[in-house]
Amino acid sequence: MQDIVELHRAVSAEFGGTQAHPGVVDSQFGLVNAVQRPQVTTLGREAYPSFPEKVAAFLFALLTYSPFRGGNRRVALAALFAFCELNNRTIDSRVLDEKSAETLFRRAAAHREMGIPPENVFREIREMLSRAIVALPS
Amino acid sequence: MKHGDKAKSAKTKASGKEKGAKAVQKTGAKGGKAGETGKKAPAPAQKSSGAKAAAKAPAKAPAEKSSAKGGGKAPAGNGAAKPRPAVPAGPPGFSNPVVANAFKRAVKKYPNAFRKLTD
Repeated sequence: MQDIVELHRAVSAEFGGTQAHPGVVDSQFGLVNAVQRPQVTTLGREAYPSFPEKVAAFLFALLTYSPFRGGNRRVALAALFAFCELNNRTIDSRVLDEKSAETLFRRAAAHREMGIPPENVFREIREMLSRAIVALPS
Repeated sequence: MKHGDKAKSAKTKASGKEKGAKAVQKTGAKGGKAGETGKKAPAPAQKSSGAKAAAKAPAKAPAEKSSAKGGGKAPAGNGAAKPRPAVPAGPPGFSNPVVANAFKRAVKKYPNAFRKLTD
């Protein structure tokens, strides 16, 4: 939780411009829900057993709930790296390049307005991340 | 009537003396000249302000000198120019260094995506 809020502060300070709201949480429920999403169990089983699924679930929840006042997609991109590096992994930028990351995050954040089913967006994120997440070089 | 004039002039002198006395109280030693005539009282006051300014000026000058010499070699006992701590470079406060590194890496890898992803 605290790490995500700190990430939002940093992202807003660096890229937010004059109308940034560093660290301002609009939906505490959404933030808690997104942070706890990878640990969800269904009938005693993990809902997202693999690591790429956990990251995808976290990102999808963060982008769907938009808990911060502005900068939600930027925070999600930074949080993707933080989540991976906290678990000794990183993102291969040759697989997930800038353009595809931008498109993916835009689609995930606005899937309701675009009329895209959420399960399709989640699957898209999961498949991309399963290819892009690699072990952190020591 | 002449007597009255004298009395008036005596009063003015007295008031001048009072002003002068006040001026002496305010300005100190140089204000003593104000006690001679009532009308001349403002002039010494100006002098005294000038004196104050002159008194202030030497006080400022050493501070400027010390700041000009400045840097990390300011004398420790003075207290006027303490060396400022270095401003930490990079993003503001992360409690977890791993997250800080992750943020740096993300910004390094995807600078344009961060700029374009606006809400």
